Amino acid sequence: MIEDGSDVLDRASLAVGRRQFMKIGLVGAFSLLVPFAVRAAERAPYKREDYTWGFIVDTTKCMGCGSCVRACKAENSVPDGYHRTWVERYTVLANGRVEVDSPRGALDGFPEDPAHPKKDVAKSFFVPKLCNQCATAPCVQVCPVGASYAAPDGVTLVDRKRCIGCGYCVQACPYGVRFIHPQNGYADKCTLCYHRITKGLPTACSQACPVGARSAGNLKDATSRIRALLNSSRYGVLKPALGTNPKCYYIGLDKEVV
Amino acid sequence: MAGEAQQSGGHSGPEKTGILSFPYSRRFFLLFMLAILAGLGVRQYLKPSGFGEIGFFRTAALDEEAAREPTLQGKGACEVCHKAEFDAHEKDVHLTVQCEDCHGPAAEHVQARTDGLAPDKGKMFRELAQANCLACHRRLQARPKLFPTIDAAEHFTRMGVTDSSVKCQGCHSPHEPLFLDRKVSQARLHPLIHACTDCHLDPAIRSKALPDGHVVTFQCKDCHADVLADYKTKPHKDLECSTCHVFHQDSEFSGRIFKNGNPKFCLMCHQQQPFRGKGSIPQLASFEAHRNEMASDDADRQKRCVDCHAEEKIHTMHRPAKSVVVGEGGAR
Repeated sequence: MIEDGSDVLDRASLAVGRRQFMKIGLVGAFSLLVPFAVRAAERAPYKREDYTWGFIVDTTKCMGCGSCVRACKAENSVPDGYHRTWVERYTVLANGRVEVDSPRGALDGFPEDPAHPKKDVAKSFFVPKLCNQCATAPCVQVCPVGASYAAPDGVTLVDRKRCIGCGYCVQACPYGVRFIHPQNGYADKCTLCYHRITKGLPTACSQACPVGARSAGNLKDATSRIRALLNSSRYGVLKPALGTNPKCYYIGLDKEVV
Repeated sequence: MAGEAQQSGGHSGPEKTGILSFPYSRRFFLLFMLAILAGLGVRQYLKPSGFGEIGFFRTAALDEEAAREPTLQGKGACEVCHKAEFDAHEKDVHLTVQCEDCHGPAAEHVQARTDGLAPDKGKMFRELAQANCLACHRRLQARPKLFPTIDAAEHFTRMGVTDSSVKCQGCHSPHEPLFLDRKVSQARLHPLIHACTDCHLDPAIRSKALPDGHVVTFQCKDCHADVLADYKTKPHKDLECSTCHVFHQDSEFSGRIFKNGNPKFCLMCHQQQPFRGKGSIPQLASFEAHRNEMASDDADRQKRCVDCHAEEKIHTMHRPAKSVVVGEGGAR
């Protein structure tokens, strides 16, 4: 201590003492590391083998505002009149008749109730639709050029450069989620916002949803929200009899929903 | 005919065995091999690079898809410049609504401001039309019952609005629609009654069957009957409890409840507006002017609407500490 003190005194011309110098040095050295730490947190390298993407929709929460449809359209430049995701309204009447509507895919929400007196309606609810990310996808199977493919992390995608726009996949999809892009000619569909989820961002639709009714998640991660929801709630998939093994799960799915 | 042809073919060929020994077959075979080789060559020429490395697709396509830049920025991007609006928004019931849900995608806007372009570049939606608000808040049969919805015509009638083309923003601030004084997560915890002994002191009652007519899912009136009885005699009687008291259910057993005393909340209905008919509901031209006029000291000048008007106009704030009224078994 004494030596330290005398040392500082000896070099009186120095503006900072040794202790202070060490402090500044240490803080400086660590602050140099901060940008790296931040960058690492922002863009941790995405490892495909660690992921199997799935999607979960809580139909009991959806209130049909259409924010997801608008967000998807903005994020993915979806052409007018086409939808990568849309919201359907099911109206089950007291006489057993089921009506489904989706005005403009719910791009502007739902402007009015269907024209039935309130007493005739047994129940009514919204069901958001999107690519079901089938584990055994019919659309991938039928593609003659290998443009429709299932990525190793469980997302079904389209290679835009490879696609010849034959439309086989559009016909093969039992959920009607594909369309041929009217301007560019390739098959287009929900990519589960692959460009966002691989950067650690939520999908555009789930980010936009004000009631948290939909989200994508990693099925391989036991701590993910989707796994927690699947473990704690009763869910179903669409058209299970077709053997497509969808990875899009619906909480509170009604038997009328197809 | 076919048999003859086969026979004559068999006789005219050389007397050797094995596939390669037949001269006609050999030619066919060579041609076949050549076709396969040509096919492989064409395939090599047509097959894009990287195809089949990790699956029946072009590997680069995966990276091309992942390389696209996000258009929606998320509300974090807005916070940087619009801190005041952001903070107000974060503590009110619209906190789960993304900025871009109403204002549109922000990528272009953020880029234009970062580059210092003119204000007309990368412009966002500012004033929303009625239809935009009603996309969420229109009363529809299919909407979940707990979600706040209105029938526009009915709402305007109740609020004395004579000009039905008025924007929702005329009364409601979209950033803080209920002017909550704290975050939802900081609001008071309110228990939801589940076990019999929550109300009934005698544990023996737990073993008894639920009597006919006993409430299963408790409503406000089941515990706060005295307040409600008083409320029904006051001018606000037509409003739901939830109009003022937001209840946010956190779990099966509890929720968060607000006692909103912010004057701005009251003024949503009682502020004098050009689009509101005279004499429809009591209106104030200026809350501050009214408060100063009524005040006799500095303490009075800090008062909120409910500090003076609750007893007379809303419901009594003086009620027994335990208002749970139960029969057999005794109240806790």
